[in-house]
Amino acid sequence: MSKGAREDTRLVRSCRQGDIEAFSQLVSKYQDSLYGIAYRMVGDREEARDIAQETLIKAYKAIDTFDLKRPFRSWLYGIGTNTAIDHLRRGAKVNDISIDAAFSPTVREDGAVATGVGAEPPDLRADNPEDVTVAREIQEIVQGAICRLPENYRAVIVLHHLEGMTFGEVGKAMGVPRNTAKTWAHRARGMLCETLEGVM
Amino acid sequence: MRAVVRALDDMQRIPAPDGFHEAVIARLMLGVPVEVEVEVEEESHGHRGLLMFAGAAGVGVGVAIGVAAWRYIAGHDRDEKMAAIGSA
Repeated sequence: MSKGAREDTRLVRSCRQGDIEAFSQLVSKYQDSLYGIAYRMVGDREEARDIAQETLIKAYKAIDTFDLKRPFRSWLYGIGTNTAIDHLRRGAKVNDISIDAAFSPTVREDGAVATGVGAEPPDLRADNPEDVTVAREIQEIVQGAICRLPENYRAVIVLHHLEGMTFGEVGKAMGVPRNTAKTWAHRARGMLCETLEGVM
Repeated sequence: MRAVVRALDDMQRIPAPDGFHEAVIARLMLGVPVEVEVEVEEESHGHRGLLMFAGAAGVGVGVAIGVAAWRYIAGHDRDEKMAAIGSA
């Protein structure tokens, strides 16, 4: 078990004894990842915020059920992806972003040229403004394509590519065998290739 | 495929919005008083039961004292009457 994982286990033990400060430290450590996962899965900042918050509340309530031998990260991300999938299945506003829309440039208030994708892209750090615009557009296009994938494919892509989890870890988080996670990722990438054909 | 994989790997991580951490902790703290309130309520139920028991016990003691007094007075009267009959 890594140092980070051991620290997580220590914090979880403290949480179980009612130490809310310990949980606060876990929130600080994982809030960006959870928000990022949720955002990549639903493509909407407000929904992502709600999903990430709900995930942490669920984790706190279920902290006694967590198996201390498992990595806390996988367990937490599993709750996060399941919460996002439930959210999508409940028929909440699904950001079905068309690829065509991504090519309809508009001018934002700050004067920057933006594409028509509903989700606002992250701030990109680059010296050349043109590079920033291109990188942003590519990210928006890819984000739009991810939002058109089936929910479980989205989760695998996000956990593997964004969070850098191995397929074994992704499988544990999603409650499926490692090979299933790998197959889903392969199919998802195939679907992304078809969607993005001619674009990239 | 390679371009797609590269684009996926290049996806930027998006930080949680300002105030996110505080909002989570606030939601958790809001949840805690609910449980405390339940406990307080249960405690007040306990107090109420204790008060009712004490009240009932008080009434019982009062009635017992009243009955004893009544019997004492009634017995005293009877003794006086008996004494009066005897002297007559």
